[in-house]
Amino acid sequence: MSNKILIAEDSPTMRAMICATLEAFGDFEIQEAPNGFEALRLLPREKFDLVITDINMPDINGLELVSFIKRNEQYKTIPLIIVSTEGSERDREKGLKLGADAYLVKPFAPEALQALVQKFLS
Amino acid sequence: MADKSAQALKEFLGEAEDILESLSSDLTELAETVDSGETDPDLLNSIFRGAHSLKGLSGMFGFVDISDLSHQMESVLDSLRLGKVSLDQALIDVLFEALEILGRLVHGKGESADFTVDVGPVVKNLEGVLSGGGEREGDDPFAGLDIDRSVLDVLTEYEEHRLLENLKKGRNLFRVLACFNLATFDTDLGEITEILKKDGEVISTLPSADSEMEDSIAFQILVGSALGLNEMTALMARPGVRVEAIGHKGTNKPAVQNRPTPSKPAAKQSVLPAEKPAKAVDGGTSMRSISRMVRVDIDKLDVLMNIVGELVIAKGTISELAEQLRGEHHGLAGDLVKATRILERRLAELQKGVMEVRMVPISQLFDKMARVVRRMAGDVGKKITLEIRGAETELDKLITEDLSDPLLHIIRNAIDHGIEPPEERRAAGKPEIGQVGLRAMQKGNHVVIEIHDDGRGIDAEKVRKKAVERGLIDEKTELSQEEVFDLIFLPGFSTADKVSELSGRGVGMDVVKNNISALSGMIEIASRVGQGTTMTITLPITLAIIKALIIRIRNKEFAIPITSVMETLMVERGAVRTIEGREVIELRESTLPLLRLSRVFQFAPTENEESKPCFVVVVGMADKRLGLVVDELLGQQDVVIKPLGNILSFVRGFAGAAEMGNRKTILVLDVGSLMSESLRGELTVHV
Repeated sequence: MSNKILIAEDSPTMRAMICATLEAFGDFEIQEAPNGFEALRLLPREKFDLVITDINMPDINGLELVSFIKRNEQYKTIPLIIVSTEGSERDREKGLKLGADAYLVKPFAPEALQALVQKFLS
Repeated sequence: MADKSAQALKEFLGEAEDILESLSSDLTELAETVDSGETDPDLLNSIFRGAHSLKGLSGMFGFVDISDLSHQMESVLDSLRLGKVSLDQALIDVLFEALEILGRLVHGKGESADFTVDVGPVVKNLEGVLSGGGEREGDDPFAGLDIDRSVLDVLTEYEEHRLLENLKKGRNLFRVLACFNLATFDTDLGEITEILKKDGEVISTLPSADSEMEDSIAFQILVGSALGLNEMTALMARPGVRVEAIGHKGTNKPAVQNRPTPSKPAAKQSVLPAEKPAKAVDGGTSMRSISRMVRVDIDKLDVLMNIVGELVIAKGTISELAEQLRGEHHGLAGDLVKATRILERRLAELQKGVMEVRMVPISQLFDKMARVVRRMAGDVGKKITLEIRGAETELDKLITEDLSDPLLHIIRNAIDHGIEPPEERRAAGKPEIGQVGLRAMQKGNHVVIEIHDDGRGIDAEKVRKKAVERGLIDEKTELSQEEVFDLIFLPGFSTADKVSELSGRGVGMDVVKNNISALSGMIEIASRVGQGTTMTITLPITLAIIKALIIRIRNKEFAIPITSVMETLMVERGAVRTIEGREVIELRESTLPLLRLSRVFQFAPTENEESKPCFVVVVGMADKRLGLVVDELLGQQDVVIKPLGNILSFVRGFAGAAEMGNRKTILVLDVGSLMSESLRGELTVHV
């Protein structure tokens, strides 16, 4: 059975690129959330194996999403990767403190994302 | 990312343009607040997010210039929103300068990924702004606040700053706890947020894990406001919503009573409503919904159109079943037929709606051409004006896209070879400035596009000679002028270097013709030596779902797009005459050439074929008519045309395949190419 991945990212291009990177090396069932709200809505619908989130999003930011997932009995075991731009080191640190399992700095090499995903899904 | 496809690049350019557009209008709004000093934090944050997104995106594509500049812009905006630097006119000017260069870069990348502009100077200017800024205080500014660590931990640096700003202003802090149904939480939350924003600032919205009910989700909204606890509670009085005041440590009293100057909030309160209504007028919210447009990937519309198509086909099956039941006098047949009719009407509306979404004014294409004309005219040293008419004519977006290359080709030819250099025009007694005209108009279900130039025109005799030289026609072949011009569209008619003698037409014109045929369109040439050339392209408005006439030849069914069908006739064999080896009939005082599809498809003749009356489908495009001889007419049906795919793309005479209600797939005839090829000579297709 293919792994289910949730991507929360407000830039459609960035989302498409993350999807393309993932699809290039594995058979995943990917759900895309263009904002934090949609991510919250999608979470209970599927049993996700991995969440990838941006930090800077309108409505609910990535940190709030991390906090929600990692404090929720139902979701806290889902591995979570933060994808953020350089310059947001402080926010990234916070994310890791809140329980995010890894982070990637944009722009990232496809291999870097692939390696992380493999690590969490093997 | 390493493998950035052309599609990804297109998406990037689209999104980047959107971001720049929002940045531009947001910056303009920001500039208006320089004098008052009352900057809207949401507006500032929105601008910051724009630069931030652009930085991230361009980085992924390796566009170092865009990424560097937007990074520097982001840094300045970050300092601005965190209060490290203050807003003044000089800063606004630098930001606009940066925006202008970003715009040039993004547009440049659209033409060529290697395009670049030196961003050094403006990056320096932005750095200059930053060097004046001070550093933030090091102590934990929230140490004295009775606020849950879990709330502070999820605040981004910016949100922390907003929290501090609210405290500095002497506002009270509240925690609004709300629980909503999972299905509707965004609208519910949106409503509350709107109300809160009128009397304060929403600093953060934290979804909470400890919601008690299933299918519901709780939120902790951190709000700064001049209102007191009672007022805030009254404001939020609704089921499932609770308000708590956040006070300072060591007191149980909320901060509302610890304020040093109790009179100030009252004054503020009277100021707040006065400054907010002004905003409410221009949109009410600070969300960036300046434009009412949505950018949609055409592929998504294609998917939608396909689904509509499938629905139309499914509806066909249901109608058939309903009719069948009625035939069997089934009790519910009448109701089913009625219900199917309603479905049919709604479906037709849906189809029309989706179709309209796909329509774009052809000005999109014409504007592109106008840029080409301007650039090229300069390059080749000719004086040219472009006249555009009918730019508001609408056409399916995909057709517009696919038309771009052929149109570009024709216009390049017109400028390169059609229009003469100024001195030659003077000598010929023509105005020095050459004219190129682009005209579009709708004719029924077709759009006609004319590309005209007043250049030297095509010399039919030279074309003829060239064709003979190339062995495309026999020296003795008699051809009308129109037929001679059609030779230009033959593959192998000319090679680029030789054609300029013939005023340049012919460079890859077979490709142009193929492109247009692929769109079920047709292209014709009219030209007079010394006066100019007009190319006329006739295209269907849309390709996706069409009504088709289903016909039978032997035991095979085919579809003919109804838009090209003028009428159908039953013809006695005696009425068919042969002129110059071609079968024709007389139709209302004109001669209609016939084309036997069974011969085109090389079906074996049947025994009594020559004695039975036959059916003729009269098809027409532009002002040409042709009679297709078929065995039987089976009626009209909605069909969804799907392309044949690359493997079969060389097969001429078919526009694609269509799926029928009974899940049968049949071929759709390409009337345009059948007509032009049959009018030129013998044509056979293998099925």
